[in-house]
Amino acid sequence: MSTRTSRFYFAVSWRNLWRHRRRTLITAAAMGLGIAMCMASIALQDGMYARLFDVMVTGSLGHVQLHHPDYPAKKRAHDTLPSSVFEPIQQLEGVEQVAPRLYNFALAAGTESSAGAQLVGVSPGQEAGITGIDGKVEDGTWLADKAGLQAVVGVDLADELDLTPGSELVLVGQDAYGGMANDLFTVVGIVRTGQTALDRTGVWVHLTDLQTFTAMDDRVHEVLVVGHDVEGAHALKDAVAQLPSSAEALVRSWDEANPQAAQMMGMQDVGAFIMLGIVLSVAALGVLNTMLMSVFERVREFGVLRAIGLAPRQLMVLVVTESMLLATVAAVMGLTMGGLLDAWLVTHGIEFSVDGGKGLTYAGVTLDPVMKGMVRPQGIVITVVTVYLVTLLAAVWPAIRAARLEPVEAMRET
Amino acid sequence: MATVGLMRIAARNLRKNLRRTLITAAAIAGGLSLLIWSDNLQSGSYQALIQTGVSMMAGHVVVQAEGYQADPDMHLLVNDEDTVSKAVHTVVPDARVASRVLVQGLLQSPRNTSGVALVGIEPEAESTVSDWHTKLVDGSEWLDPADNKGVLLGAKLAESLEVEVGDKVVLMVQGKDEVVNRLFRVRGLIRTGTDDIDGFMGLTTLEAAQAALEQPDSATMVTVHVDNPDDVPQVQAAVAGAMADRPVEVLPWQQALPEMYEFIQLDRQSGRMMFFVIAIIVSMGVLNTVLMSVMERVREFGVMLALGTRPGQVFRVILFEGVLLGFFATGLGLAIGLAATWPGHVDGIDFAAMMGEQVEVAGVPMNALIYPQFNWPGTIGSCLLAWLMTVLSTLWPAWHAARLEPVQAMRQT
Amino acid sequence: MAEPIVQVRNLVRTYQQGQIEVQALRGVDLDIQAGEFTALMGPSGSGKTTLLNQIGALDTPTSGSVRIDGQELVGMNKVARSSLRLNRIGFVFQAYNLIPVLTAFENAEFVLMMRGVSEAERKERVMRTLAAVGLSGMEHRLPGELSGGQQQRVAVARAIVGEPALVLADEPTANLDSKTGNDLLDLMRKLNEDQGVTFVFATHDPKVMDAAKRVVTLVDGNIAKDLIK
Repeated sequence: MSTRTSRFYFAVSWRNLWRHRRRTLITAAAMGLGIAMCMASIALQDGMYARLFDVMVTGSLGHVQLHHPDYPAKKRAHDTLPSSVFEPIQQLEGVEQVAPRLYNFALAAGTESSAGAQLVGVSPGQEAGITGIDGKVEDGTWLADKAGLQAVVGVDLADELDLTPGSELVLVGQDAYGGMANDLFTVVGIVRTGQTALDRTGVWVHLTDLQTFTAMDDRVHEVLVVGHDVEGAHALKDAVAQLPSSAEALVRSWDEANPQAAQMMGMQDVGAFIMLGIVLSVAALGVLNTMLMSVFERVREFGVLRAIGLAPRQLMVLVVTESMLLATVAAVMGLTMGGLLDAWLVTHGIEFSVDGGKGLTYAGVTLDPVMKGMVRPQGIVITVVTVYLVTLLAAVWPAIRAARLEPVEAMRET
Repeated sequence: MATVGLMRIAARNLRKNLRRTLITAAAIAGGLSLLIWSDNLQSGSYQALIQTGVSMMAGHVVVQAEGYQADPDMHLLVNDEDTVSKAVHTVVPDARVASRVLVQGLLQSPRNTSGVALVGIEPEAESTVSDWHTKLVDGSEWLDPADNKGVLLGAKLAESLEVEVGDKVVLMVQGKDEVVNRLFRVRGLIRTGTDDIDGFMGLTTLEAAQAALEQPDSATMVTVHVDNPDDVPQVQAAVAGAMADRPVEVLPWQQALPEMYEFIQLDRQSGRMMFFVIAIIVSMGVLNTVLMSVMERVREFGVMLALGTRPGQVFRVILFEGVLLGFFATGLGLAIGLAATWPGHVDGIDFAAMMGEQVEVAGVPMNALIYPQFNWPGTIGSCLLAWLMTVLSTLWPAWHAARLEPVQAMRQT
Repeated sequence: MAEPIVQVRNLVRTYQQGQIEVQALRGVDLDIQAGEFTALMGPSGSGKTTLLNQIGALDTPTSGSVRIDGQELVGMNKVARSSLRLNRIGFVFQAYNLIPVLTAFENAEFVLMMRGVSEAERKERVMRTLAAVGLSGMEHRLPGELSGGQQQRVAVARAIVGEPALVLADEPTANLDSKTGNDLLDLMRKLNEDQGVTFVFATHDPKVMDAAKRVVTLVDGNIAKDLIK
């Protein structure tokens, strides 16, 4: 089609739309409202997913993990890896951070009460480098680089045991040989990770301190590896797995380690598309009716166009062009309204707190009591594409009707 | 009489432009059925959540030590559990009562240690209020009330401790004054499908748990379970009355499980907001269509007014069209919405693709297989609103038509 | 002699058309008696349609007086005028007279229905009137199923079934071919002679002027000629 013809179509269609300004505005506004609502919903949803991702993947899964082959299934204390897996990975190209962990359970006793605690032995600098946990310390500081019987406690556990920075903490547990292990630690910081379980039971100590406590020198349960970005996780996993030092270990990427999390993330765009599709289809029925009536209003006009030589197909193109222009108006209105809503959601968010101001828990993650939105380019793209798609579908029937008109009959219509 | 004539014109108009009427009705019915279906889906998920939460983690009404809800402490217990339990039985004879003691501590086996949340239960009473006893792994037996050394472990916990049925484990817990060690024997394993539970929970008898805390005849909670959730306010009042002299708090489930309850409220509210937005979107479509149809008939209305029909009567014609369309479309939407709910209601809808097999929501495990429930009050409300918004959408066009000047109207092309 | 059915005194009607003030009627005096068969004629813009609309209580004067069937229109509110049109005046318009979704019978009975006449009486009067206009057997047809001439006959039936004081017809033959137009005129003449129905036409169709017993010619908002044949 030459540019002159397409300019003709655009000009005629555009003018047709504005001949009936109120009607066009109402139709576009209805769709625009649907778009705005979906955009807000998607932004909130994406905000939640971003939080889930951040806490789960960044905070706990890393990009690649190493374990003793039997550890993930049963979590037995003696299924460990030697510290020697560590160095070679650090030297690997594409690796940004490597962090080891040792886990144990102990009874944590404050002055008045005690509770079961999940001990996590870490290398402070590297752990902070991967999970940013040092930034999540609310009171006090993160662990010092050198071992010194320091402890950082999860916010809810600290609350329960009445601990503050400077408090003494007694840990009583079992060592690798089945004997009693106990030690006195000093609390240096209180942390809020966002992982519900850890906030309620977690105690972080220096790896060396925990290895001594449990008589498991030079062993770790878990090694987390982080590369440049999460998309490169699989390639990174292959590289790590190929190292001779990793031969005995089970090497997995984060989605292999937690398929449920991966599944949830994967559904993000599908969910958005489905919601948009449904809401916009409901709005599109209004578009369908309006367009059908509009075609019938112009029966005589179309008859004249056909009489002067326009082919049926070209009338179809005219109607479809009009619908696409309408979709554009709707998209502009919707993106503007939705954009304002999104901006508000990103900066202010909506309060979703329960039980006196706490955040909701979902899938082991404690969400922010004020849910903030997040805008992703994919979300906008899906929205715009769906608007055009749905409008196009609605235009099919009117377009065919327009094409089927016979010139003489059409002009005879009074 | 005149009204009949007006209604006749309205009905005939709808029928004359049948395709237009049907498409408009389809838009309204589509929006309504979508809302009914998703409302029923939501109701189903709430019911499941409440069912799990209330039966396994609390009760419809819960008696706890005063101050426990605000600051849960393992040692903050209801004293004279036996007397309290019997008193509750007397006040609400039709309800099922079960006492529980929560013990947080460490469980040790020769090979490993793990944190544990041990729940002391009354095996017979508990099996009437929750379904722990249905989650036993093959080869396991339910607890014997007389067996104060027996424990049922979550399957993953047992794996991690590397113990099987018949093995010994030691519970390490803070007693009243010092740390206490208690020996237990594994009688069976439990598998619920939720990692949190299977990895950290254990069940033992009430007496055994009381002994571990060194607090005989006590309970963390005395829970009351009824058949009809609507009875909760009366039951709560009755039990509270019976407990008046005791330092306890008597809470309905909404306060015992505040996170779950408030999540449901919030979720419902956001559902309602979407509902309104969709209703507005559909109404705008209806408005447009009715406006256009009124514009088409301006000459006709002009003639009617010229003949002596009053503006209010012309107004009513268009209003009637909205009323009739409203009835038709609402009926259609109701039928479709209910029909769409039925298959899910019977077979359930599996959301595992979106959230995994089970997900913990607001502290309560929720199964991905959701059974929509028929929420009649919600459905009726939705239908009323759909009908009302349809009628309201015709107000502006009707008003416009009523204000026509006959002579100018008849002159329109 | 009885009071004239239509009494117009010094009727002035001016209105705004954009920036210009148009004087459609400049002080018209006119009397119409019961039983007349009168045509108002004149070129476009002469004011004949405006005058007809004034008589039909579809419009109000800027100044002057209009009495229909003994009632003064000036000062009447919208509801009262509406009521007057319903009960005392019949209308036949050039086109689009009928409500498309109602049958010929239902269109004809419309005015009676609005007045609250009983179903039995409506049926009797409408059938009789449809017969009088030669449309027996067509009662159940929709306007879309009737020819132009038949549609106008239904309009006439509707106009007279309520036994109004007078029937006003604005260019009733304009959209019809000459034979059909003549047939319609013959019908209206017959109704006028046999039943004494008063007809006032606004027209520039020569056929109507020939058939009329009195021709009032308007020019530029004034009556120029008043010819009683």
